[in-house]
Amino acid sequence: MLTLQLLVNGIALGAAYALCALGFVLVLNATGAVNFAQGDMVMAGGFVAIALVSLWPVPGLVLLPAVVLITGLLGLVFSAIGYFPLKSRPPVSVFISTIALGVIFQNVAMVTFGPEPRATPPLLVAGNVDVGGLTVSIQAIAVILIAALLVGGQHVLLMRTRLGQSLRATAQDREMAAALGIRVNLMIALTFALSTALAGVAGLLLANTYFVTPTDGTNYILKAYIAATIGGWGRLHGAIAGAMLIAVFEVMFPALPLLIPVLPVAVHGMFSQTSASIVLYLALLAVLFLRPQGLFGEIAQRRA
Amino acid sequence: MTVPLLHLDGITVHYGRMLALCDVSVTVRPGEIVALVGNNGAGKSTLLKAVIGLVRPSAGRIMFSGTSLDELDTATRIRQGIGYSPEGRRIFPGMTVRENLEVAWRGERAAARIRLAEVYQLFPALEVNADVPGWQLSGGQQQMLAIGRALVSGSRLILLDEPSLGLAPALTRDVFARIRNIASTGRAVLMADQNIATALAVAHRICVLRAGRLVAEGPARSFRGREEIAAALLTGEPNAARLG
Amino acid sequence: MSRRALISGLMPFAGLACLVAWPLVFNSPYDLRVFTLVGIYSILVLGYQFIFGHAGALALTQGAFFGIAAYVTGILGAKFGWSFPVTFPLSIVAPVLVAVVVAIPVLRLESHYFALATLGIAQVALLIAIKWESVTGGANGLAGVPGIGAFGLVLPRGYPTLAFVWGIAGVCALVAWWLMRSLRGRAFQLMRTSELAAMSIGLDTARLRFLAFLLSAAFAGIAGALHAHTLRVVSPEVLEFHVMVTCLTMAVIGGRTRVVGAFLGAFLLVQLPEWFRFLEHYYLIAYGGALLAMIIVAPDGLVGLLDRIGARLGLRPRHTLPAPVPLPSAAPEDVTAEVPLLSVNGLTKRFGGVAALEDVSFQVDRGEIVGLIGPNGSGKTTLVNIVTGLTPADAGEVRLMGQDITHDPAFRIVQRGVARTFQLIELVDDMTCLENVAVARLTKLGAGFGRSRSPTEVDAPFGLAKRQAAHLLERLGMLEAAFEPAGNLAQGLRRRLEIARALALEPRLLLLDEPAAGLNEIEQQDLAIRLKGLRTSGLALVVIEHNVPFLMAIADRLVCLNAGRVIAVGKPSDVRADPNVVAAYFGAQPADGLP
Repeated sequence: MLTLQLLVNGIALGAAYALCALGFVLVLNATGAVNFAQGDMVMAGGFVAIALVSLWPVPGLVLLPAVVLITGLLGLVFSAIGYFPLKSRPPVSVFISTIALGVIFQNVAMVTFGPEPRATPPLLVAGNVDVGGLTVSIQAIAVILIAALLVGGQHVLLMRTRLGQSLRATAQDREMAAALGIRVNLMIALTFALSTALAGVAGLLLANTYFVTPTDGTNYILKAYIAATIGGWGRLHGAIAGAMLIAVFEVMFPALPLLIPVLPVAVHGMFSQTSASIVLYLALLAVLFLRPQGLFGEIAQRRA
Repeated sequence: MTVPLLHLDGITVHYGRMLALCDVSVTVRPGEIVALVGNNGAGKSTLLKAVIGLVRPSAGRIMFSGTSLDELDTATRIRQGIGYSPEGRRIFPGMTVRENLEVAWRGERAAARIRLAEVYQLFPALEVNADVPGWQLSGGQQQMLAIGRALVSGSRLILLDEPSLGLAPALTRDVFARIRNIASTGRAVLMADQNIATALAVAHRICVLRAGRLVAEGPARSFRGREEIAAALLTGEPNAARLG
Repeated sequence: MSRRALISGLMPFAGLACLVAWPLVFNSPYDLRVFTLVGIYSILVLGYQFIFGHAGALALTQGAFFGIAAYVTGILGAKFGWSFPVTFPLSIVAPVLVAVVVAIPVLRLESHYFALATLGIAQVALLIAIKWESVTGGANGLAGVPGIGAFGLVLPRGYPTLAFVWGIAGVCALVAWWLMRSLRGRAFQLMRTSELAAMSIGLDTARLRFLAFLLSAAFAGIAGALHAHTLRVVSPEVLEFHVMVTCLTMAVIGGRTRVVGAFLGAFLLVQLPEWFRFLEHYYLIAYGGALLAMIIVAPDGLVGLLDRIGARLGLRPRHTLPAPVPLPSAAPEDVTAEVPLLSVNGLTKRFGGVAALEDVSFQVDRGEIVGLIGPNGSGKTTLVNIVTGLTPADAGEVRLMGQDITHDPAFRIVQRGVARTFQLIELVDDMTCLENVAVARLTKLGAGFGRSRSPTEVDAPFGLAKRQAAHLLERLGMLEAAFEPAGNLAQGLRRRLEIARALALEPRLLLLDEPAAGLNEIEQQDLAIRLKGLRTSGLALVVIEHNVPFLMAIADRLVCLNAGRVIAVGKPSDVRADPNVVAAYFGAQPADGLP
């Protein structure tokens, strides 16, 4: 019972992580560059929602389109300042520029909203609902549904539309895409916008249950990175799977003493949020060392 | 004398300090098939890339159907009506055969199906594998797909870089017969091929490149023996012949 | 006195004078502490320059190393009451040990993996510091860290601590400067520019990166320990990511490889926020903006900008040509006529299912020029890559003077006497021609990283290397270009420079991959003559070329490959006329019947 409840929470968390990780991998594939500020965009999404709500007190779901629009536009600006001027430099330069942009975002948020954690209103309503004997928060269900919709929407966009085809072509071979008449710079800018919009929504989804502080960014980018690495660098579905694994682990690990009563009380202290993170990073290092192509990646899946 | 579709005038290309092409001029008319032959490193691929802007010449002009291409970026040049099949095929590995073809089609969605059907007629193996992702295709299938992509957009000028690599001889024969048909409808083909036999069999005109220079040029039939070209490449007296 | 000498002589003095005057002018206790922090951060950035600047790897562990050292000092000092002479060395050892453990899996990763893996490590350290309350004091940290002192005597705050910290900073600056000057610094520059070229002159690049990483950790340890002593507290703040961002920003803004840059960056980025403290968090926004602006506009930092301004003002250093010194001649004992110089037997290599090389065998004797020809994809470059150790063979063997080198790593093969040039020339455009060649003397002259010589001899290897480089440039007829940056040369000269660098390795066998590529006719003729002239003292050449006429003029023998197999070996005129060779170049014929 507890397990299932935790599982639901884990999936809800994972859904939000998945959006962030998805955006991260989209930009990675399209540009070969790591966007270090992707985590800060999650934070930005949360704060955009908070700002909007102070003007217009509505449920989170109503804010969703506005958050998407604003964070998407931020992504365009982002690409214009942090990526395109450095397009022909070594990728390290873009890494540093996105670190710089992340710092700027963090401190703009700090200046505007202060360091205290804040929360957004729930997507629909607060409270719980009884699902087959299980008490599940409505928010968790809403988060899972919205995230699933967005992941599905992103999938449809990429796989079923002409724009999506052009985006994928740009991500797989930029030069060849241009040689077929695709406007690659536009595609890259749109990829950035899509990526930051996904992160922004993740922020909106997370900020109700988990609150948002200006310094959250580092945490989220690391989760996105771990998800992408575990799932197989550059693979969209792998990143989503990785994100879910991380979230479920984060939620279950501190609760293990409750779930496994046979564990001696002495070690109960070892199972906390913090130690979950530590184990996570150690797992990341292990993956990098032992199986760098990730759980789902195949080395053969490189360019023909 | 028909107006040239493509006119390359005095093209010089440097890679850093390396001279890759020196003062090369080539003309292609509508309905014509021109083959560039020469060793690897002679500059054939470089010349094709220069046409679509993947490399920028340090000197020379490129005119396409009366329009100067020099200031345009690659995608814009392609949209003027050029199709390109690169050396190394470079098909999109994560996209299916159909998607590779669809993404090359720039026009109305509805018309795409007809275009794809034309390509499938030329390469039935592609239709069989329409939903196979690119990375799973064999070398020959990828080559067919690359050529198909260049053809699907109905371009007036088709650039083919080493199109016969990886194709079985029978299929090569087939493909080039179709290419001859396409040219007869007024489209033009500029191809680079190391395989001199292929080039001689299909092209109307041959341009021989060696170490970045045009050393011989003329109608295919006037290259008296195939061995002569090979010998020319191996011994390479510069400016060997202006034949025919 | 020339303007140039005046300015370049005065600049260091002026800088030093400012440095000394500053704490005398701004002498409130608060200002003194801030200035002490400048010194501490200078040490941190000096360390970071080893891995980030010189080795060119974006590591994000510098903050973690700093914090770990601070905590070691804090814990041992505040909790156990140990004093400086004990805690200081331990605070340096701790991060170095962490670096050693971490380096093994992480250093061989590509850049983005590496950066984020190191970030993960930093996060682990932070989390442990917060979690392990009993030892680290948890989120509140530890107070009561003693000052710097021993045997009951403690340095007071203010000037004494400041002077001590800056004294150490000075020592660190000297060490950093000494370690990275001359040949070693140039070797790192080469490695940054082209890993391939660095391996081709015999550098063990993995080892160099490892040592740079350890050095960065050691310096971070020094800085961290001093930080704890200066502030007298240690808290999880020292492990937070903003320390790393600060360090990175200082390095990018000051300058990544120059000692002065570390001090400049530290000074600006510690002092400026103090001046703008009234702006509070806005100054951090400006931080980010400055970092962004710098990386776009001036990736070499302020020091790089100053250099460029200096060049504009005509402050280029004047060079005097060193007297050329020939290389030591080859040891006579290994000149046995029986064993061929190079012997390749049954070499096979497959990529996927395709055989790039299939049972290739041939040999090369001393003083020979062997040309390697064949159509595209015939395996010529693969063959050279296997001989030089860049690619492993699937089967067969390669013997150099009888010794099996088939599985040796690239840098060892270079040391045994095999040198090569590349199709795409990999020179350091910013270094002079003389330096480009001199750097290749590194492994032979033994000024290796880690094998330190006495300080008085510090310039001797570099000086000798430059004299020997001058001799090689002379031999290739380009002595007058000695002080030109390599990036300014025309292609023909670049090729000659690359050959000079290869000769600096005292090779017995030189492999040249398409040396005539991109050369005009005159340059080709010149190259041909020079290559023939290299055959003295038993040096053998293997030349891959598509330009067969070029080879005809110089080669003693030709080997022709096709589809991974040897199809002809022999005298050039015979091979060229061989019908198999002609057919190979001509290409497979489609069946008849084409219209």
